[in-house]
Amino acid sequence: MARPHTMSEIDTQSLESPPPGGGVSDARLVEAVRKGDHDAFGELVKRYEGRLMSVLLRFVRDRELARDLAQETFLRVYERIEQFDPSRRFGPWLFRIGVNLGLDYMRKRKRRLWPLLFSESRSETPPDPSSSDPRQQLDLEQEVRHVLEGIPEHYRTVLVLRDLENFSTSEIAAILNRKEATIRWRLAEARTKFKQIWTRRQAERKPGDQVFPLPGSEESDHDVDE
Amino acid sequence: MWMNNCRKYRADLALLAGNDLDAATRLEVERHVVTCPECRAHWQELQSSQQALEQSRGTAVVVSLETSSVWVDVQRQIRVVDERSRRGSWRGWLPAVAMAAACLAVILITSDILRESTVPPEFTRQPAYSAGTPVSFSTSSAQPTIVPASAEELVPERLEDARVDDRPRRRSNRAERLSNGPYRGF
Repeated sequence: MARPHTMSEIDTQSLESPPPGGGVSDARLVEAVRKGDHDAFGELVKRYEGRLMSVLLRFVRDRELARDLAQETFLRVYERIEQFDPSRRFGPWLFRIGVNLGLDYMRKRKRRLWPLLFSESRSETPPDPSSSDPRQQLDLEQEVRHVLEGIPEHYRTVLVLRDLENFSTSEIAAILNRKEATIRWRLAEARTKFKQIWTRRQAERKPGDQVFPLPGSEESDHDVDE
Repeated sequence: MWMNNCRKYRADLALLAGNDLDAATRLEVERHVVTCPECRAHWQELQSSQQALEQSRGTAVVVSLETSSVWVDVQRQIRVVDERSRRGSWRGWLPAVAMAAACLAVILITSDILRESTVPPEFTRQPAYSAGTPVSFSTSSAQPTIVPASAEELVPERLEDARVDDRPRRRSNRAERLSNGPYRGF
């Protein structure tokens, strides 16, 4: 009934060290950076920049802005590399700095940015080529973003990191510096809130305009085993 | 019918929707959903919203892969940071050096003042150095110059008198007055 955990497992590998290719571990690279090796830091940047920009894009929805924030994140990581505890994992530490930067930025520009995000979202997020109907995919994404907007920030952050970025709950706990039990509780609350708003908005739409059909209208692979 | 423990199962159902439950809890939740129509309806809505959420995840990742590496820009900024920290390495000592210099200056000035405040021996022999004695200050030296009030003050006898402490003498005068005054004989 439930989907396999493969995505989560694959993405978890990106925060673990050493990387799947058998390269140098994060800890060794950090050690080298501390000794003044710029190339080692370049390796860390290249290792994490894609994932970091993806996460930042979830918050700011602007490619250039996400890029700027990613640069700022790496710069701060470099400046604070001496403060990093080598007994801990580097990935969550980096993402904590990046997520905090993204959230801070959003808080500062919240009122101005959200309407801007939704007005620019079509140009900033090109349609997924694998999708059968790109317009439907864009509608779905826009609708999801509207629903996410209605969720309080500390729930939304957990939901975005878990369900859109596939971080595990333990990784989110490390990124947000909270206990895993707290993250699981927030995740459950966030999904419930998302469901409430999503269901209400779907009910308010005309039956033919539903972005996403409710269960029962088509076969679902999520049914509880009975 | 809403059961007392439905609230607990609602949280578990939300976790189950994203496959975040362990096997044992999952079985327990599934058994409850079978028996509770309200939770079953809740579960179906959760499935729908969760499916929408997961289907909307693809594009941001695709966008990030299209962009060029940020390393070139980061490297440039790192050089600036390094340069600044190199320049800042000796500047970091600046406050400490300034503080040490200030302390040294304070010590020197204080010792000078202390040295000045100790009265030289020749001043103790000056009898006319009192509140009534005019004192002039020349601009060339901070040392006060004592100007005698009159020529009498330079008389050696007076200078001699000034060396003697007058307290015992006053005491003896008082004793003399008592012995010669109206209390004589008491």
